[in-house]
Amino acid sequence: MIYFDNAATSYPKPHQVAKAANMYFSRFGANPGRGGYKMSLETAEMVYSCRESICRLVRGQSTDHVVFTQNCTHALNLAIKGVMLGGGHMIISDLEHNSVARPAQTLADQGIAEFSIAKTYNDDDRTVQSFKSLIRSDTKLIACTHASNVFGYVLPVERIARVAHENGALMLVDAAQSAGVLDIDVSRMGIDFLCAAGHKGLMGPTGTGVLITSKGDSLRTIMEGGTGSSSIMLSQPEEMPERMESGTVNTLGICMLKAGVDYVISEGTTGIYGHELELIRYIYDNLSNMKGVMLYTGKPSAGKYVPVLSFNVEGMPAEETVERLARMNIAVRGGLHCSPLAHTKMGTLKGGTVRVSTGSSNNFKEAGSFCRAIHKILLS
Amino acid sequence: MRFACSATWMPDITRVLPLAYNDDMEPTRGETMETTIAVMSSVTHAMKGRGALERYGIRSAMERNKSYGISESCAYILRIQANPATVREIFIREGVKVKSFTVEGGKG
Repeated sequence: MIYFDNAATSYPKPHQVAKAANMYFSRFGANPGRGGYKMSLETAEMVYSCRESICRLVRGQSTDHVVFTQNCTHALNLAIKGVMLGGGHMIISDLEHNSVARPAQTLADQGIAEFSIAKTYNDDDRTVQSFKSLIRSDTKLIACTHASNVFGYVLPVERIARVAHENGALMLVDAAQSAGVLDIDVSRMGIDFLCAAGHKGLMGPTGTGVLITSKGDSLRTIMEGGTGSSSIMLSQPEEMPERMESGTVNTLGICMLKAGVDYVISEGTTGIYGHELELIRYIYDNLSNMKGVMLYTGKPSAGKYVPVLSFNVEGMPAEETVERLARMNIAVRGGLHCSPLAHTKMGTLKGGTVRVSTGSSNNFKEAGSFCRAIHKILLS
Repeated sequence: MRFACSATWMPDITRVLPLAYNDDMEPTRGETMETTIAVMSSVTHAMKGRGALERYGIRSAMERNKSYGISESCAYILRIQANPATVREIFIREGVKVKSFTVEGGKG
C-alpha cells in the first residue's frame, strides 16, 4: 500500500514506537502516580520523561505545562472551554477543523460565549488585520489552526498571537498538522495553549494528544476526578498537569508517544518537513500539468504550507477518486475532512476534495506511482 | 521541625545557600546533618523537584508518602540530603510546588 493519508494519522510509525509498546508490557504495566512500589514509580518516570521530550520539542518552559489528552480534539476542548466557560467572545479562523469550530458553536448555542470567524488570505498582513478587526472588549481567546488540515496553508500564528496579547486575549494554536513537522517554540511564538495530536507528526499511537500551556492554573476544568494527589479533598487539585488529567493516563500510548517524539527530535523537524514538502511539491508539479485536475492552492512552499494538498478530478466526486485510488492500493482521504469552514472558503463544500498528505517514510517512487494513478483515472 | 510552604512566602532567591555536604554527599565536619522531607504536590512535581535538585548537585529519593499526615495523603515525598532553606530556594527558583517540609536528623 502507498500511504498518503498522514494528515489523518501517520503511518508507518518508526520501529522505536513498536519497541516501546513491547517495553510497556514488560516494564511499565503499573499505574503511574498512584503507588510507591518500583513498577509504579518507574512508570511515573516514563510518563514524566515523555513530558520532558515534548517540552524539548516545542521549547516548553516546564514539564508541568504538558497535559496528556486522548487526542488533539480533547486538548482543544480543555483549553477552549477552560477559558470560555466563564463567558465572553472568541475568534477562530475560516480554516478551522470542527474540533475548534464545534466547541465554539456549542458554547454559543448554550448562550455561554460568542465567537467570530476571521477570514484568512494568502497575504499574511491581511490575515492578521482580519483577526484584529474582530477584536472586542470582551475577546478572551483567539483559537486558530497553525496549518489547514485540508489545504495545508500555514497561518501566521506568531503575529496573530501578538494581536491577541496586545488586546488582553489568550492565544490557542491547533497544531494537529504542524507538531513534529514545523519548528514550534511556544514561548517565542506567544502561544498560550498549544494543542497537538500524538498520532500524527509526533509519531505516537492513536488515543494520544497533548495540551501544552503555562496558563493551566487559570483554566476551568471540564472533567474532574482522581489525580493520585490530595485525595482527601473533594475539590479538584490546582496543580498542573494533574488538574487536567483526571483518571489514569494512557500509559501505553504515552510510552509509544515518547518514542515517537524522541524520533522526531533525533531526525529534526527541518529534515522531516523538508522531505515531506519535496514530495508534495513533486505531486503538485505533476498534477498541475494534468488537464482535468483542479488544484486549490499555490505551489507548496517552505513555511507557507505543510505537506498537505487538496485537489479534484473534474467531473468526478472526491469520494469516487479516493475509491479508485484505493483499488490501486493507494490510501488518501476524500470528503470534507471535518472542516466545513475551510471547504466553504474554497467553494468545495458540495463535494469536498481529495487530500494527499505525505509522511517521513514516503518516497519519490511512491509519489510517482500516485501521479501515474491519477493520470490513469483521467484517461478512464 | 515542620513548616508550611506558603505561596506568599518570598525569600531572597538571588543566591542558593551553601550545602552542608561535600561532593560525596557526606556531611561536612561540624555542620548539621539534615534530611529534608518535602511533601510534593504531585508525582509530576516530585520528579520535577528531583530533576531540579540534581542540577544543583543535590541527591534525593522519591517515595510514596507514608506518615506525614492525612492532609497530605496520596502524595509523594522527596527525601533530600540538604537543608530545607536550600531546597526551598531551589524549588521556588525552579517553579516546583511543595506542600510542606519536614526536617529529620541532628548534628553530624
